[in-house]
Amino acid sequence: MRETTPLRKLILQLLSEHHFLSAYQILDLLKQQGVVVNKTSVYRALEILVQEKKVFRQLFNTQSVVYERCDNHHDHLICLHCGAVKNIPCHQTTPIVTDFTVEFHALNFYGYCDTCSQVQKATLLHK
Amino acid sequence: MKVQIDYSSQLRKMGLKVTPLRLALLEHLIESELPIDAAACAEYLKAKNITFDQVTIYRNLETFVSDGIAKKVDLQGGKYYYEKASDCSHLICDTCGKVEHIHMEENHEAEHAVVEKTGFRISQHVSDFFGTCQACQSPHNA
Repeated sequence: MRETTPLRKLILQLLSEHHFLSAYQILDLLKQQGVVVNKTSVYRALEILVQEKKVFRQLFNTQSVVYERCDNHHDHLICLHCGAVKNIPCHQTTPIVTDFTVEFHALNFYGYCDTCSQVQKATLLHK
Repeated sequence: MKVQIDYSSQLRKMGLKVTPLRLALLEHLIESELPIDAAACAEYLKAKNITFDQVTIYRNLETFVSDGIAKKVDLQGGKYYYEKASDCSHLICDTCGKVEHIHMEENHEAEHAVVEKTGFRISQHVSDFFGTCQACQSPHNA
């Protein structure tokens, strides 16, 4: 087990205060706190946290990668139109597979939020 | 009986020019049971004697993703995989990296529950289970 460095502790702290953050957002928040750190160090720290299963890397939309803490587990609703990500309580049941031991899981639902669904309906009516 | 899919018309529908590389990539993506990475695509193209460069593979895979025909998957192993866009559940072994597809009827029930509670219109779900496969659990691998 690696020792948790001050940078990794700070990143975990920031991720506790936010639902999820991208590496650049972490870098900006660290700068605001007066922590001078290299971009590569942030990426390296995040990679170690992912390997240690403390942080989970999410690809909600394909444009950017975000990170969230593993210990605050929930499922996600991702709107394919506006890109909004909402957390919902866990709905996952463990699969009935005898030859696989599950440690943790991720369940994401992709679709359209209420507002975007209504906008789409309205657009279709006007056509 | 295997259903023959017309990949050329699928590409045209997406507004893309039909090239041997695109056809082969789409075919490999749709017919692969498991998520594939760019290296697997490169091997497939080599076996088919199609000339390519790595960037073209990535660019085309990303186009398939933005057109909704494929999805990008992060199995937490440091690289991205691509697979056809559909509801699916993966079992991912943290030790050997093996990926398996499983069918989970329960996820459809979960989907209905979420729709009822939130009003969110769901078009697809993805669930990933991380853990240890049987082979890696055996004492010989300890």
